[in-house]
Amino acid sequence: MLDGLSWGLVGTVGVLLLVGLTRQFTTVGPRGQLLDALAIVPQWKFFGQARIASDPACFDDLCLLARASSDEGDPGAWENVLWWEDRRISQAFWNPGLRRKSVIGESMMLLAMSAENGTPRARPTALAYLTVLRYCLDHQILADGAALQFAIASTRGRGDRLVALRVLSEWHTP
Amino acid sequence: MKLSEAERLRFEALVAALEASDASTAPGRRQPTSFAALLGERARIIDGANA
Repeated sequence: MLDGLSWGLVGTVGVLLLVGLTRQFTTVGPRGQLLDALAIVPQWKFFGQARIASDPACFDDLCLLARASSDEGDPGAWENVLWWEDRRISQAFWNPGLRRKSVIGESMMLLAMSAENGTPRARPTALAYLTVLRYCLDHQILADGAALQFAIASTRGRGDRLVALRVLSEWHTP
Repeated sequence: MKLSEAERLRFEALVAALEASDASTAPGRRQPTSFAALLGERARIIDGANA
């Protein structure tokens, strides 16, 4: 037999479950967050939300490109440095390069957002900028005296893949 | 990095769009900054903030 404490526990879990299910379809405002200052009510959601799916910016792919310039200053052709290629099914089980690419990808995203907002994080001395630059320098073979410039571009959508230039760096040497 | 045919076409479209955008009209190469110099500048900024 369940005593009073057990019934209270079962009731509390039931209420949390109901509130958690309700949260699948609602967004909590600032007032609701104040009432739940300890963040006891579950915040997770089962499925991708229509609010997110309706925002095409959530599905941008960021691409990293770089080009070299000789001593004379003529820029070369753009080359892909980080490209989110189509994934194979086997990569769902074995994809050792994903973590490294994700780290660079996060720096690229931070840099792109900072550049658009005009925050100091977009400066060449910012950690995100230096991380992306180092990755480019490690993956591009530069001749003596050559400089490198990188660009972060985003492609949006699955069909026409609209392209936008997000960040264009200065020229740098190793 | 080896790209498939479809990816290569997408990449070429991306480069074409880049060439048509600000990248082609950006100022040319002037006084490139070295990575080491940027690291040194960052160290000076951090030291100044901690001083």
